[in-house]
Parts: sequence; structure tokens; C-alpha cells
Amino acid sequence: MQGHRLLLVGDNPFHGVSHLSQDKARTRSGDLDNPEYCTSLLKIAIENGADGFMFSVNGFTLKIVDIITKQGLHPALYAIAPAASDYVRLASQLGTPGMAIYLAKQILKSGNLKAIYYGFKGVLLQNPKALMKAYLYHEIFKIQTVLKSKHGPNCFLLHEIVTEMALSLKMGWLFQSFIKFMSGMGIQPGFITRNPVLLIQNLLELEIDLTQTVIVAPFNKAGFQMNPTREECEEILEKIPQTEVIAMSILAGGYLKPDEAIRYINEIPQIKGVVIGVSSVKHAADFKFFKEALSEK
Amino acid sequence: MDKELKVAIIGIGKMGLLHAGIINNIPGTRLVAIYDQSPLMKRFLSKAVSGVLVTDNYKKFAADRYDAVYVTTPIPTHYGVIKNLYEKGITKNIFVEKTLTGSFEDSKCLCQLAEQSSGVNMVGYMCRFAVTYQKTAEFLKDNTIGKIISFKAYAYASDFSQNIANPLAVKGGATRDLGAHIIDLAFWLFGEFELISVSQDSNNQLGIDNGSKFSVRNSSGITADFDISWVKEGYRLPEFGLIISGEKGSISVNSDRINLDFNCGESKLLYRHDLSDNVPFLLGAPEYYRENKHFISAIIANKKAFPDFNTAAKIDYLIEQVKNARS
Repeated sequence: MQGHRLLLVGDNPFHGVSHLSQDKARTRSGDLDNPEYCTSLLKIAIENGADGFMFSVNGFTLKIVDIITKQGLHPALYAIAPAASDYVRLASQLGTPGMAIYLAKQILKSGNLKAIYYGFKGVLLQNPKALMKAYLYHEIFKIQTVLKSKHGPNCFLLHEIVTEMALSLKMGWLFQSFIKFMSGMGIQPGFITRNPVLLIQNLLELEIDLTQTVIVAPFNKAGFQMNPTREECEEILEKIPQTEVIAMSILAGGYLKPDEAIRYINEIPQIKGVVIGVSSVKHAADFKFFKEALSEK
Repeated sequence: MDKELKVAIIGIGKMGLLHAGIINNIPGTRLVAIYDQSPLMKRFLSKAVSGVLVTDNYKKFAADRYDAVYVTTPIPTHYGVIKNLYEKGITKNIFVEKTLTGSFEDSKCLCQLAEQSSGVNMVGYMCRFAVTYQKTAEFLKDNTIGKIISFKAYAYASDFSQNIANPLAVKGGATRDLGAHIIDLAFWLFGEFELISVSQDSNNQLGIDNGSKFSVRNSSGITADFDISWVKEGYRLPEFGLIISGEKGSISVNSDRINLDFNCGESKLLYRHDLSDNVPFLLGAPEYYRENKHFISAIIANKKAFPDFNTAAKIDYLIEQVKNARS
């Protein structure tokens, strides 16, 4: 038997994302625009063995978290920020400076004093670390408001676009500050990446304690989005046996069948969990199969 | 060339950041300078990124010489920025995000300057570096669906579907900002076209270019209908597609998949997953890495990069013709 592997529900289908094709995303049920419906899918998945919910922080997913919490369910919450597609759309519509101004206004409107304080500090002292803190306080405050709690989420993940940019522009300070900040908040820090080899090498060079950090990256039999190669992505995991590595895109967007997808995951002991999107009642009910199959060897 | 290439970026918006991220991951290449007019961007980036000159002072930026410069400013500024780079000798190798300029006249001038510089020039039409379109090019070269008769081309996005009256003027309209990609793909796969007709589009009633519909024909007699819109519902990501009709069958392709349908009844469906889509560093989409690698490799090998300014100027010409015909 493998140890208990975390089984998380992903929110990509709720945002119209399909890693197979956008055609496929467009043919999905129109009900996915409705947070009540998405919550019902999440609930079915939880009833069938899902441990938690991984979601990009925006109004839609927070509504889902709100509804599920009010129903008395408390799945482990893995929050992702920034909700990149929202910000990319804003940048397209308002330009990059316009997007930054929009975000600043949102922080001011939120009334979150810590976020506002660090925001002003960041602007006045031109301090990127303070600005990052302002942004993180803002996002965490939104989640905690919905949860009506000063705690949570369980894990806070930096979206891949930020992870990859920080990696590429050698912004080691960002990784270190982010981990320190989240640990101080009692929240497990994590990174989403499609370049896990480069990221893990970099974090190890920075001497970051990866035993307390979550890494979410694509792992699938098709090698889809496993850069630079499937083999190198698998090999690098041997260097971080204690890290909570969560595999995403295990079905490669529906390209692989569930049983072959799980067989592949079960061959990699370093993978501590998987995240799978749901777009229908059937997919949600499939979590029973995933739960059982993940435990088998 | 065996030394490390020193690369600079002018304009650090969405596309500037993307290229900055990729450049540092191409072996033998190093991002050394960023120029952006915004003092705000300069202040924060200079503290966030080390080892790179970040400045809003153009004189300071222009005091150095670079192996290559990426121009990722708004389209209306391309002409002035690139002209200055050539005239001041700041670099001879230039990559500019599409479109080359906002007018065919300006694009022609830049083609002349590029010719005189004897450097490598390239315009950021990334679609042709996506595996699905590259495979389609192979199918067409191999005559897989026989002689090509016609095709339909579309470019759809939902960017302004909720805000039809107020698209960002600086983006230059849907035909230029969005449609240019599909026009480039058509030019690349089938050669140059002449405009036959332009339809009036209800989306443009407010005098804003929210899209266009037009027909073209090339010298081989291939005809094509283009449909471009950034107010289309259901396209959270921009989508570019071609439906190509040949004597033996058809190919329907977009950036996710290729459908081959033969007249004999056989068919084939290929996804990105089937086409070796991994890259050494993934940021945005794999085609961005390949596009950047192509440009850098061309500089190192002292060869032409594609699409170059000349190709891009032809795209600008067609866009201008569509615009003029509509007005």
C-alpha cells in the first residue's frame, strides 16, 4: 500500500479551462457558470473521497467556498493567487498600469488595514517585498472573510505565472519572502509550476526548506506540459522525497483514461497528492474510483 | 558568435514581461536592460530584479549597445522606437511584437532601415511556432488533402464582449490586434493574398474596430474568408483557426488540435499532446519559447528570422486595405 495520498478537486473547468481544447470547454454544461452547481459537484466529489479543493482566488470560487462552508463541509483549501486569467484579461482591457491601479483600488476598498498599510509602505518606500505582503494580505483576507475565521486557507500557492517569472528573473527574494510570510501566517506555502526541474533546482540552491513547502506540477503518462522532459521531471523528485508534491494534469486534460492515469501516478512514490478538475456529476462521482485506485499498489 | 548575447527590452507590459522571462532561459542569452517610460515600473522592477539595468531614462538606456532589442511597446509607438534603435546604432537585431507598425507606410520605412542594418529582424507572430500549425504546414507540404481550393480563417476572443463600446484604443482595433495573427498564418501557409471584398460588420457600428469579415484570393486561385472578432462570447482565450478545403479532404486546425477529414470517409484527430510540445522552459505557451529561440538562433547563425519585417509589412498592408475598404 502507498500512504494516504491527498485527493483534491481542481477548479479549472469552473473557469472554462480545458487543457485538451477550448472546443471541449465550450461544449461543457452551461451550469458551470453557476456557483451553486459547481458547489454541488464539489460536494459529490467530497462525498466520494476528495480531501480538499484547489482554487484560484476570485469572486466565483469564493462564492463556492462560502456555500460549501455554510453547508457544514470543511474541505482542505488550497488557494492559488493571483487568479492569472482575470489579471491578464484586465491587462488586456486596461493596460498593465491600469490593472495595477485597479488592484490598488480594490485593496483600498477592502478596508483590510494590514494590506493598506503594506501597500502604502510599498509605494512610499518603493519596496517590492512590502507590496507583495499587501497583495497577500488582501487575498488571504478575502478567503478568511468568506470562512468567517482568522485561520485558513490550509495552503496558499503562488500561481505559475509568478513562479516562472520569479524563477526566470532570478528573484530568489520573492520565494524566500513568500515562504516566510506564509509560515508566519500559519499557512503552508506552495508554488505551482510547469518547470519543476528548474524550480526545484533553484529552491535547493537557495537552501529553502522544502519539507514544509508544496509543489504542484503536471505529472502524467503522456508527458504533457512536463518540461523539459517527462524523465527529467520524474528524476528531480528523488531530490525532494519529503516535499508535498501534488500532481496536476494527471489526465492531461482528458487525453488519458482514469485507470492509466492513476497507474502512472502510483509508480511515483514521491507524489503525495493529485488534483483533478470536475465538470459533471459523473466526473465528481469518479472520485470514488480515484480514491480507491490511489491507495492501491 | 561564442559570447553571451546581451539582450534588452523596451516596454515592460504583459508581452515585455513574457519575453523577459523566456530570454533568460535561452542558453547563451542574458537579459541586461529594460527600458520603460513608466517611472512606477522602473522603481519597482529595479528593486525586484537584480543584475539588470531598469531605467525610464532613454539616454541612459541608449548609451549601451545590445546584441538584440525586443520592442514590446504599444503598436503606435513601434515606428518611432525602432527607427531610433537603427539610427542610433543601439542594436542591429530587433524583435518587435506584432504588428510591425500601425501603418503600411511606416512599415515600409522600417523594412528599408532593417535592410541597411544587415541585422536580424523578426515580428512576434507566435502562432506559426505552435505545434498544431507546424504539423499543418507539413500536411500541406506533403499534399495530404490534395490541391487546396479554399479556406476559412477565424480569430475570436471575448476580451471586449461585455464592453463593446470601449475597447482600449491603444490596441489598434480587433483586425490589427487579433486578426493579424490569423493573417500571418494564412500568408505563411498559402503565400500572399489580394483583397476581394469586405463585409460591413454590425459590431463596428460605433466606429470602433471590434472585428471584420473579408474575402481574399491568392495567385494560385485559392480563395479565403476571414472572420475576426474580439466581442465573441465563449472565447476566454483568443482562438485562431483555419478550415482548409482540398481536393481529397479538409483540415480544421486551431492551436489545440488538428482534424483531418478525407473524402473517402477516413478521419484523424491530433492534439498538442500527440505532437511533442514540450520545451526547455514553459512560460505562457510553448510557442513563445520556440519563437524566441528561433530569433536568437538566427542572430547566432547570422541568418534570416521569420516572419521578418518584410512579411509583417505585407500583413500591415492587408489590414490597411480592409480598414480603407470598410470606411
